[in-house]
Amino acid sequence: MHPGKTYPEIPEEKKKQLRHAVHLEVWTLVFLASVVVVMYLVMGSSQAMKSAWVEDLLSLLPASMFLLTAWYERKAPNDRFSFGYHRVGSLGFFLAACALLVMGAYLLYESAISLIRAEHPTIGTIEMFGERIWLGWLMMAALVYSCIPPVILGRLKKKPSQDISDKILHTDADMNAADWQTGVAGILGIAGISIGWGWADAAAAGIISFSVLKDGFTNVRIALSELLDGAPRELASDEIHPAAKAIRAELQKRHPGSEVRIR
Amino acid sequence: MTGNGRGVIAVALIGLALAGCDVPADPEHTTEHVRGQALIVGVTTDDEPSDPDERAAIQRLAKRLDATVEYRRDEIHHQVKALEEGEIHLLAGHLPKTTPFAKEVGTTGPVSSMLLGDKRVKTVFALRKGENGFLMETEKAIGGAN
Repeated sequence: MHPGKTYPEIPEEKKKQLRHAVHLEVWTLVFLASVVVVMYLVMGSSQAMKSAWVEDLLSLLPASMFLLTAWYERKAPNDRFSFGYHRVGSLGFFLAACALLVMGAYLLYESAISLIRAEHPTIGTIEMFGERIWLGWLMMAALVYSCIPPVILGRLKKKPSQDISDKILHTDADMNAADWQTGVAGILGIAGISIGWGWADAAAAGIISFSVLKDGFTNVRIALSELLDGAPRELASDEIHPAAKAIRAELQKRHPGSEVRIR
Repeated sequence: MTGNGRGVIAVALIGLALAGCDVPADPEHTTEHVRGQALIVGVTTDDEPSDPDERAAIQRLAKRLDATVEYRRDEIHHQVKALEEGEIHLLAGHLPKTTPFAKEVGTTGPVSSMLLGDKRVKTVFALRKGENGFLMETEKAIGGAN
């Protein structure tokens, strides 16, 4: 991090919390990357696996954006960017949110098509330790693994996100903490295939794509209110933060006759 | 109970439920239809596959399922249709792994190999899509299990 000359230093306490958050996000990237690799290796022709894999891949974005922001946003302003790079995080977050939205819509379309065509996914076997093992079991194991690191990391990130009051980190923590639902939906899909219910796979894929779409919508809304200089919001919702309201009311009282706006 | 707790219990329950069934299952019951009856294998060029590895794998599959082998010869498009309709159980006879019919049918792991142009490619058997139980039986037979 390169604190700019013209920015006031952040307090030591906050610096420590920010460093902690950065560490957690680096670990998030490491673990999620391992999940993405494991899932890719066993993906096969299951639509649910594919959707879950894409969701895991996309969940790398908010963590990357947080790190990019932490590194970039306190760069000193210069002649070309005279207000510095504060918005870089919001911009990156907005792009990541758009990616979620587009992929969510695409995955929903794909799962709807395979549901309508009533396609039965064909899943073969693999020879391991001298035994023929159905790849579906490996897929389930990969899905179980994909549930664990994000949930733990999501919980660990909750408190730091409140400490440094960071929207991106908070949303990322939320998405991670809810990631187990994708894994369970995927497992149900493969379990369905294993007992001959081909539709279960497409249905699970549909549920997963809905969760991607939902994340996309929430994130786009948050990113837009930051990019458009909206009033400071509460961490977990789109409501205006009570502190922002209080500051505005106080300033209004101290400077009667003037207009107070807050962003 | 937390959401995670519920998730873990749900997964455990599914595991228990599956442990009691014959899985993976065939949505169209191919294994059931073949067992103790005839294994109907579609071929396109000769009366039976020219490749000895393919013939041996088919014999092992038939033995596994206590069935007799019956070869049916027809043009490839008719065979793919017959496979989709469940009229034949397997399609054999130097079907390359890269077959353009892979969207319409399911394919097994490699059985043998063939020269296609100047490249040696692996050959596979094709079966009805989604018949995962039958696919498992077939791949066990390809792997050498009687």
